[in-house]
Amino acid sequence: MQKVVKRLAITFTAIILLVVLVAGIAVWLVFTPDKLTPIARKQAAKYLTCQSQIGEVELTFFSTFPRFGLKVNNFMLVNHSPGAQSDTLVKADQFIGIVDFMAWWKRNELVINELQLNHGSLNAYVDSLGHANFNVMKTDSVATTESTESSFRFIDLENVELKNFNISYHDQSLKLLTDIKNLTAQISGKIVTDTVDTKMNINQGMVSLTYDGEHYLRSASVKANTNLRFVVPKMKVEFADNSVATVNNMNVSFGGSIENDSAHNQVLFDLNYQGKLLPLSEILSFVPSTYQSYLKGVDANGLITSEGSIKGSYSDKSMPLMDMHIVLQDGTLKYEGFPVPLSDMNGDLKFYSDMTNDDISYLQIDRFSAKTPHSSIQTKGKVTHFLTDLHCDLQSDGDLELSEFDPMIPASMKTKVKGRAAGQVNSVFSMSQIEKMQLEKMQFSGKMKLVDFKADYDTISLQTDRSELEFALPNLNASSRNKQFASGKIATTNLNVITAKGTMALVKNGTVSFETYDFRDMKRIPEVACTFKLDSVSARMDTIQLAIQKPAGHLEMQPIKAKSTEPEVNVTFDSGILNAIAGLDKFYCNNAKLKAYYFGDKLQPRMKVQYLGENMKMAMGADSARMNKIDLNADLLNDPGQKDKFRQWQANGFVKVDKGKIVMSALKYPLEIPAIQMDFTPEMFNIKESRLKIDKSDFSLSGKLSNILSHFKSDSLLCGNFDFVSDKTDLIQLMQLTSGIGEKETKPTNTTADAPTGPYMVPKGIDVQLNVNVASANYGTGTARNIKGQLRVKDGLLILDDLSFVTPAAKMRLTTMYRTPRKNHLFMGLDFHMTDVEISELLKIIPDVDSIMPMLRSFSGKGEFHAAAETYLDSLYNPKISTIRGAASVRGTDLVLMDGQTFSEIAKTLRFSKKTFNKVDSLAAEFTLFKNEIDIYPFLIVMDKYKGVVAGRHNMDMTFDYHISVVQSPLPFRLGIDITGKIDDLKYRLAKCRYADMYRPASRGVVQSKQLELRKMIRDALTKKLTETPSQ
Amino acid sequence: MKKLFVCLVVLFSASVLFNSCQKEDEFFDESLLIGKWVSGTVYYKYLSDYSGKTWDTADDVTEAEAQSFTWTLVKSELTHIHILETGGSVPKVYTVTLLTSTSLKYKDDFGTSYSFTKQ
Repeated sequence: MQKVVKRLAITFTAIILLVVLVAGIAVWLVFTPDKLTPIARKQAAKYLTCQSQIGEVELTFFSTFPRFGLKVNNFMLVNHSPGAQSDTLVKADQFIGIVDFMAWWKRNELVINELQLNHGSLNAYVDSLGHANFNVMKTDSVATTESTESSFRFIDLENVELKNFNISYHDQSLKLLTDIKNLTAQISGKIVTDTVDTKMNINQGMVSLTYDGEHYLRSASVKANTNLRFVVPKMKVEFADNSVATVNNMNVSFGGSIENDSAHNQVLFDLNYQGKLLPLSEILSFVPSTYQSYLKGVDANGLITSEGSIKGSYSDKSMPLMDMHIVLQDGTLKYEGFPVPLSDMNGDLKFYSDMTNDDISYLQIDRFSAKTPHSSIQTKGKVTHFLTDLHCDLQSDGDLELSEFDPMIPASMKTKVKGRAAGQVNSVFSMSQIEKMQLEKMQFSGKMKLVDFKADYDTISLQTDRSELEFALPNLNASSRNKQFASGKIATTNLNVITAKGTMALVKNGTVSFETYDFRDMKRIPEVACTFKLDSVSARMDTIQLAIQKPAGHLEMQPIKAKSTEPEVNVTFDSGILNAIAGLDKFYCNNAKLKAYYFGDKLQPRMKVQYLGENMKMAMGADSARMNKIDLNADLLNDPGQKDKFRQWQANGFVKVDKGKIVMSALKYPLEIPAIQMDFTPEMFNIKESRLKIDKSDFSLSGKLSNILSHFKSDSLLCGNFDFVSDKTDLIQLMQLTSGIGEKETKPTNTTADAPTGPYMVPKGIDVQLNVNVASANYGTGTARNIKGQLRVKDGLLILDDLSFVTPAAKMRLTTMYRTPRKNHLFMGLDFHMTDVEISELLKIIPDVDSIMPMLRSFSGKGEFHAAAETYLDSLYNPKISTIRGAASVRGTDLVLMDGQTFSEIAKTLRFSKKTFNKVDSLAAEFTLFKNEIDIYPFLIVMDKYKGVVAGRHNMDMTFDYHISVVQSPLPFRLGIDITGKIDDLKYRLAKCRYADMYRPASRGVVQSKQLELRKMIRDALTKKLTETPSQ
Repeated sequence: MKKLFVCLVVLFSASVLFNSCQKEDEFFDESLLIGKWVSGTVYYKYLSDYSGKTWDTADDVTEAEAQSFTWTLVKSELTHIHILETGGSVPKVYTVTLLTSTSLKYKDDFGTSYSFTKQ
């Protein structure tokens, strides 16, 4: 065995030595550079059209063992081409080629076993017309058709090595500039007719690529390992599927083809690729400079894993279809326009687009999440139509610390936010919809939870500890078709709004929900429904404060059927305690319930209001009101013909008040209202029940107040007819209550009931009648009982018409008239009848009677008294003397003449017998009052055996001019006595008996008859009313 | 008896003394009364329908606010009947002593005289 091996080794060594010997002879002795170089130059000139430079050509064997090769030093081809980057087409310090001479010789095939290019450069250039500077091979003069084809049928490049080689390819027709520096690569391949199949292994190369003026690569470090086929006629490059390229340390495997379809001026792509964990920052560096401005200030990192394909034509009108799946891992982003850095960015995206056809283009976001230092956001969805009108369909979740995003809010908005907002938002919208605010075409829905949220806008601050917000646009769960535009629901534990001026609103534990029609549609009234239920709400503005417990309600608005611009509104509102303060004014109400309906028809708007309030208290300054319960039900009809807005609304309905109390500064005593029940129409208040109590007075008022609207229109008097029933009435207080109503004169503001500044002025513009039935009434100087009659107030005139009542002194009938044309001119008239009156009491009831008939104070006993009087008064109620008119009639029987000084003087003068003096059988007298004159018409007085006629005058200053005629006495003659002088200094003087025949009709004179006629006229006029209407 | 006689003589004498002849009444033309008469601040206005008005400007009363009366003039007896609004009437009887186109004077039974000039 060893021998065999030994023999084989010797044989092999001998062969090698023989080969080496032959090769040495060939290299050093036969094919020397001096012999080969001229041959090479000659062949170059034979095949090349351009200038060539070949330094030295030598045959190599040992360096290319085991094959022979040609080594060329200082090789250069020069081909001037206008516009080219260099006249030097190819330059190499050295290249070594190993050619299969047998193939060349036997089969006319160029088989280059190996080609090494070292330290050289290639400057390829194609001008805009497609003329290439590397087209330097001479064409065969014999060839007629395929002049550009190589003379070799087959070229085999088994191994081409480039070392430190620079390649520059500038193609003006493609607007493509490619520069590869320091290229080190191994290339092998075959060229069969027009097809080049190569295996390329680029170990190193700095690539710059510019297309159409745009730099896509700048000295990018490129490595590649690919098998490619180049089909020359089609200018098509086909990469094997397992091709790998490394650009700036980013590994991408790829395959497919690129074809330059010059006939259609397009490039056809059919590439697929896959890259794993590619640094995002490196990818972004490939963004063309034109688009780099979009990335200004962007500092993005992360790893991108992507796979996909690029298929289709690229031309001026088209882009290849890109189908990319992109996965982002551990991304970070800092952007100077974004206030917070993003971290933990992870995403899974699919990009599908040919960048020209929007219908097929989309960006599918299967997931994307990112974090800021204190916030996180996730989103998924689909973005389409990004070439024309970006359309997004996104579902986003976020948990945001809002203060992080506060810097994003433009300063012009004067808004600051902080707190946390977490929730989900689903959105479908396009950019054009956003720009045009086409809310009706967009979809937004979601839930948002706000925690410790605070937003400041200008001087307004809104804050909530915890609130939840739900919204939907459109409203898919609408209660009706026309509320499908939007819906929302807010639930809050507390919501507080504060302004710099101190205005504040606070809502606690409430929910508010709404759904609405498109409120931007100004052509019609939007349909809106809003429901709210709160634990409490409070608000404050200036001096106004409002606090409501348990408010709840529902508001519904919609256009009237067939009248889209006219609203129909339904409101219900319930609340617990409602407390409102406005300055010194206060309002308190417990359990308020309100139902309101508004029908906004332009021709005839109408409203319906139902209000029920309990335990209501109001205070306005010193005035206050309190009601245990108020129930209001009103239908209001609008009359657009009315100019006054207030008068436009005409109300029909009823109001019911239970246990009310009103305290007014203008009233000395509070007004207590046990109950009021009233129906009302625009023209009439029908008071069914009205029980009032004022201090010691209590009464009920029922009846109708009519012509209300006409009165406000100044068309007619305000008319009323009421039954006034009272157990106790203080007339003085009632007069104080109504004093001055309707007067137009300005009153001092400090008017109080205790310090009246003017007389009682009867209300004007009204005609109100009270049918009085008062059990007991205080009229200042006494008390009257069983008062029945009528009290009428008519346009400045107050009439107590035929009022009957009983005082301790007498039964009375009274008619008074009080008219107030102006403050310093007040009319007072009365018609007064007393039957069975105690004369002494009469003087107490009407003290002024003593001034008119001072002689009455001398009588005691019962009689009847009739009087009528009138006068005008000044503003202090002083009578204007010149206007005083009056008449009175007195009848009495069985009177007692009191023993006074005056009577004693008369008796003494007339020699009366004193024992019979004080019994007056009958008395019948008439008096008149004119200015300051009181005239006593002659009347007969009978005392026992005496009959006397008394007549005369006295004045308001108590000066007297009286005459007494004794027409019957025990004396045989008739006497008279004149009484003159002041009351404290009367003169008694015997005089002629003036009225001796006064009561003797047969002998009565003309003057006396006239006086009796006047007396009868006076009495008849006074008692006329009694005969017409007997006392009740 | 002597005393009684003396008394009767005295009474008879007194009755003779106290009875005087009635003065013949004067006659005044009532048409002269028609018009407005003034005495100081007191105004009377007589109208031809036997109605009239009176007012006193000293009491802040204007003609429009004047009070009404009816009047008659029979020979020299001038009667004013003031009608009260609430019912009742107040007669005042005067005796005219002078009535011309510019002057009016009358007096009442108590000797109070009134003098007016026509406006």
